[in-house]
Amino acid sequence: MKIQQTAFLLIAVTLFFVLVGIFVLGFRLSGLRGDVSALEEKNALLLATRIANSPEFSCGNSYDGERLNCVDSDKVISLKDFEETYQGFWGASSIEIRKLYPILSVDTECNSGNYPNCNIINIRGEEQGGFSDGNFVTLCRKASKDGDSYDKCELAKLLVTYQKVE
Amino acid sequence: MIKDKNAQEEMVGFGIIIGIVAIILLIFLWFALTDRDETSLDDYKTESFLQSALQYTTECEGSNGFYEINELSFECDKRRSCLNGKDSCEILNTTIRETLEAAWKGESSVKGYSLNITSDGNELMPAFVWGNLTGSSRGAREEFPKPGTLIGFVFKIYS
Repeated sequence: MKIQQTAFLLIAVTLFFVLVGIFVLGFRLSGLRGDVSALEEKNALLLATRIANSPEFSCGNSYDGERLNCVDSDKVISLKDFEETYQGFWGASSIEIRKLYPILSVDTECNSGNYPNCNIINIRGEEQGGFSDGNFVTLCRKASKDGDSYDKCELAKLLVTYQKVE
Repeated sequence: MIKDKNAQEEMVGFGIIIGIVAIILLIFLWFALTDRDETSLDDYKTESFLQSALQYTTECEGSNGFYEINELSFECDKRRSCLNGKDSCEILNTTIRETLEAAWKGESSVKGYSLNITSDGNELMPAFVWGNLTGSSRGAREEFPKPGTLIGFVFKIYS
């Protein structure tokens, strides 16, 4: 009788632990998908910031002192000629700088012919597609008015695309 | 009598086990709920937006060239006009409103936003508000001091 009672108690305790285990596992797994997407967003943000502040993209001291999150579009448009040299260097499949304001009526990709009357600068990597996100940056260039040069800074978003880790 | 005592001991033992498991569960829940790092992402985006937007070159020209939004706010505070005679506050108002719309109105995760500009703690112009200002918000603040004036920008997004 006593052995029977102990056995029942053991079964009950084991069942209880199993149920607790299932509950814990379910709780953990339900949050995993959210964690993955948050981590990807965070990676994209950090990568975009790192790229924006790299010597090849950043404004440096060219625009009235040092600026944070500032991209020199004159530099970037020149960088397009060296896309192949920089293959795989940025850690992203592709980099897109999209001018947000002022708004252009039609999306126009920049090249040396239409710059600066365009709103998208693409730096293509070797692989296309994947996860894409980015961060706000100031997009500065040298403009001229009546023969005088001045700094023209606009609002843009630097978007990076990279392959998802499966 | 002995049987009752044994049953009592078993009950106490079972109670102790339940107690231990409950404590383990509580510790796990505490870790599960405090382990998440959700704070920085939206804050980081709002900070970047505010920093970038305030460096936008406006159409208002002064004696030293075109003003950026943060510089234009000082001109607006002093009620000065641009070289072309346009009202600095009007240009500031239009530029900020359109910048906010261009940056945030297409974001599906954002239900609303607000931007307040103050001069020495007093409202410089009516706040820029759009959408549903829910209870969940993230924000950024920038301040620009000049002798005699402190201009503050407080931006919040609501999700």
